[in-house]
Amino acid sequence: MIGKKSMLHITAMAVILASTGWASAKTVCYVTAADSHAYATPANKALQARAGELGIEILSLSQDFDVQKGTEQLNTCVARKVDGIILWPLDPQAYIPGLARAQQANIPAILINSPMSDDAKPFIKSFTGPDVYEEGKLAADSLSKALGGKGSVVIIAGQAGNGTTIGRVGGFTDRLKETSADIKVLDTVNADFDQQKALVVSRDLITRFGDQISGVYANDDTMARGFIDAWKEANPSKAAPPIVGINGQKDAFESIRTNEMYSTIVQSPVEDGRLAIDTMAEIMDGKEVKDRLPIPLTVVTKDNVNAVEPAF
Amino acid sequence: MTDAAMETSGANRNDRFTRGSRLADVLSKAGLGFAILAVVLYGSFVSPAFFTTGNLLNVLTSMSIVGIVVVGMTFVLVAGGLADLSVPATIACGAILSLGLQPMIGPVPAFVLAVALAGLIGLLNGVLVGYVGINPIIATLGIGTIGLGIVQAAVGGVIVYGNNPASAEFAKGRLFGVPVVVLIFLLIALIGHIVLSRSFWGRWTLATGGNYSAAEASAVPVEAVKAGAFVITALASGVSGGLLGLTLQSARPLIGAGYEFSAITAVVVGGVSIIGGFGSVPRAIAGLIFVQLLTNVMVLDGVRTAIQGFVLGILIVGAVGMDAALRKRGVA
Repeated sequence: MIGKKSMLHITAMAVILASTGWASAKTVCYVTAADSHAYATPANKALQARAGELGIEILSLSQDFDVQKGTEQLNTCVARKVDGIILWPLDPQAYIPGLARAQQANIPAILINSPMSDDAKPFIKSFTGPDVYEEGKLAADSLSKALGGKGSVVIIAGQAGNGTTIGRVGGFTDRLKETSADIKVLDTVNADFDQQKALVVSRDLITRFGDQISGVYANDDTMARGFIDAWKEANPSKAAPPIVGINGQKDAFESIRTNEMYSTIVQSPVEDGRLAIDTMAEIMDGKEVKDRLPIPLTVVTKDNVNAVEPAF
Repeated sequence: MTDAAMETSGANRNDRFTRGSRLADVLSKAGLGFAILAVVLYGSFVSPAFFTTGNLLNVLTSMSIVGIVVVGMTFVLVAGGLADLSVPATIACGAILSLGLQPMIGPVPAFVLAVALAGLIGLLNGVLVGYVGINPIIATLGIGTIGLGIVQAAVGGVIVYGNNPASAEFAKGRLFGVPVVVLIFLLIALIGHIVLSRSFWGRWTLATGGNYSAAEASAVPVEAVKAGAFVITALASGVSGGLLGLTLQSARPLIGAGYEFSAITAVVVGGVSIIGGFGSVPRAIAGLIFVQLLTNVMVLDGVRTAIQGFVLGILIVGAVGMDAALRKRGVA
């Protein structure tokens, strides 16, 4: 096994290597969620392209969905004394010490795409990206409409403890409570935004609840696809209950056209990436920015599926 | 066979306890069977849906993908190779290439090529571990990371979609009412079992893991045996990834994340020794069945995800602790 000591050495080496970079006009450290992901990749590309237009140097680091990796990368950014930090948080709390260090070093930091807890507020200039809580609310309204305000649903959630999951589930359940809809949540299961895991948990949910399931809410379109496949296996001849996803992937648009899915919510990764770097550019120019800058969300159903562009 | 020969080939006949008590002997052979039976009884008790053909078929289908990896991983553990952490990379290689190459060369050659390239990753692992003598954990972690990086770069870091409905139909299809993936898994498990328990290669694998220097002195090609275990695992993972890609009709580079630990969990819970020299494919699969049934019962019972992880963690620690305790009492 790797000893603690050698890990320290490796980290130290990495920091030294990283800090001997070349100085340039303005360097922004971009700690992204992952560099090979259906949503994150186009967002990263859009951010990079925009930075090129603005003449900003981007130091891009990928966490590969590993929070621990991300906190270390954040420290690397601070050690390099960059001019700004754009962080894609995967955890509501873990990055706070790193953000505090960035603040001490007078490096402005903003969050992209995912929220953090309110404890992080003093350390960041702004949070740009989709409002995941709002997405949950829109999903609740959409599913409620599909069910005529009455039914029992299952929620296929993303990773437990991930900000996006918390927002998308919380917004959904809170909205159901707010409205007088008679919709019961049978169960909420985590499938980590993974299609295979969603397929496996959906099989179990269908076994457990069978015909009780009158609607499905999946935290993203990938997991919605998992439920559709599981339903087809179990009931080849029966139409699936209305399914609401989020993200607006191409294949979800296809599923909406063929009535396999009821709706999805489009958030554009390109706008997500651009807004973050634009905001950072304004901050570095000494302008004041709002502490919350959302990107537009569109609910896509069969009515407007041909008028809206899929996100990716 | 003389008595002395019996002593040395003992490991081959699951005869792990020549000095242990009779009770330990019975428990080690049948303990897992009892455990599976207990889970089945409990499941039938808490959920009427549990003991139905549909549900059990679901469990079988869900475990087949990781089951194929388990067969390979058994060889790695038995040969004393600790663990193969490059599984996520080899699964991704199988899934992404078997879908991505379809438009160019057709589904069958794409699948074969994907598995072959996964095998190549295994060969690199094998050379580093078996011939160069690098610690398997480090070597497979390194090679796996490199392999995943290459795969990611090759597809530009996005999702690859399948475009051959026929191959999807085949992978999702059923033969005599049994899903095709299950049949493929059973076939691979059978081959793995025969090789490990009835062939010279299996005997060499057990000998290498049991006592490396003694095996070397007895003219067993220990380096090749160790390397071979990693090639077998990589090929199995490649097949597993290819099937995963075909059934999902989409693959992303992180598709195989977590499978290495699911496979190691199953093998260890099945009572295959983590230090090598003892174990069999049926044992590992029994471990897998136990873990999968337990997870299924927990889901049907409405146990929260966090608690499920907690239970599985306890299982792993218990199984490894048991291995260590039995080692002290037995002769292995």
